Amino acid sequence: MTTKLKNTIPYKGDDLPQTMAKTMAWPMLGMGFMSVVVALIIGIIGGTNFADFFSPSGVASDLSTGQTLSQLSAAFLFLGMGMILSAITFTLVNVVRTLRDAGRDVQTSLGATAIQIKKPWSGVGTAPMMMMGLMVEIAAFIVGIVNAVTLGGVDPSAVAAPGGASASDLADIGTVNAFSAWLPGLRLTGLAIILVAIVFVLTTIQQVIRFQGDRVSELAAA
Amino acid sequence: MAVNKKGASNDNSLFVPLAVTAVGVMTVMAASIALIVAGINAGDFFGGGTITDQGVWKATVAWANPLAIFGLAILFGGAVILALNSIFGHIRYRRDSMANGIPVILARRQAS
Repeated sequence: MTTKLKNTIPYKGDDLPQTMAKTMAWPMLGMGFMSVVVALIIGIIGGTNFADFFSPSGVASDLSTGQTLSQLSAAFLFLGMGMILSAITFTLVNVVRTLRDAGRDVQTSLGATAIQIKKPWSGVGTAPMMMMGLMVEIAAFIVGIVNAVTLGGVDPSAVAAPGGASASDLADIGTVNAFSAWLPGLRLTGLAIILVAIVFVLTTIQQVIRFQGDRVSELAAA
Repeated sequence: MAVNKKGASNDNSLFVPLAVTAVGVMTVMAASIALIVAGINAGDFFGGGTITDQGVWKATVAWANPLAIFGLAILFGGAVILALNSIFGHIRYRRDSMANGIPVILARRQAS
């Protein structure tokens, strides 16, 4: 039988974002977890350098290395968090896929034509929003690496006492401080954008579940 | 859940999670813009600027980072939780539809 429900289309399989979610959910989670672990290891090494600097035998290079590794650690940490949140988004898209296919099976078993809800705007927006958030995290990662390399190139004594630094070292220290001021904002903005994608996919799940209830009611009333 | 003339359920549950999402995103964006200003002040300070530049830089970083984290907390603790919670109502609606509809469909099938 046909349907009088609005915003429906005949059943169709996965589109490109759904295929991507099916393929990429677990690899993305793995990459994100590895990135966070790398960040943790770098952070521990950086912490050791800071401890060395404040010990009686500490030298300026310990402080410089510690600060450089802190920059690297934050870069890997937020990249990993972005990937893990993206993997959660992909997994929720897979929940939508599974609901859709289960709905098809139920309709077919009842002898009805398999239809599905037309992709709502929240579903259309999920993948681009998630990709945009991940791109922001990747951009912040690259800036973080640039920051670490810039700081690594500064004379360690200039890092410990900027007052006596050469003009070029002072410029580099200024660049690192300026980047470090806005970089956390960029990283958190990336995470916020991916969270918007998660809210989008959750509202899509709501609509798919509601549609399935409406469809069963319609079949019973026919 | 109310049902309209077409037999489809009326859904007003999307508004609140999306509104809270908008509030969270705007909070993070506001903090990010403030941090860009702080970065400009930091650059000015190391480029021969004044102590005022350093003051604005440090003061802005001090409040803008917690504001950005607060925005994320709104998203995690508000928008995502509300969206997850509102799924329950839809699952109950589907349960009721199936509990009422499937016996009717089966009875009709047996009768034919």
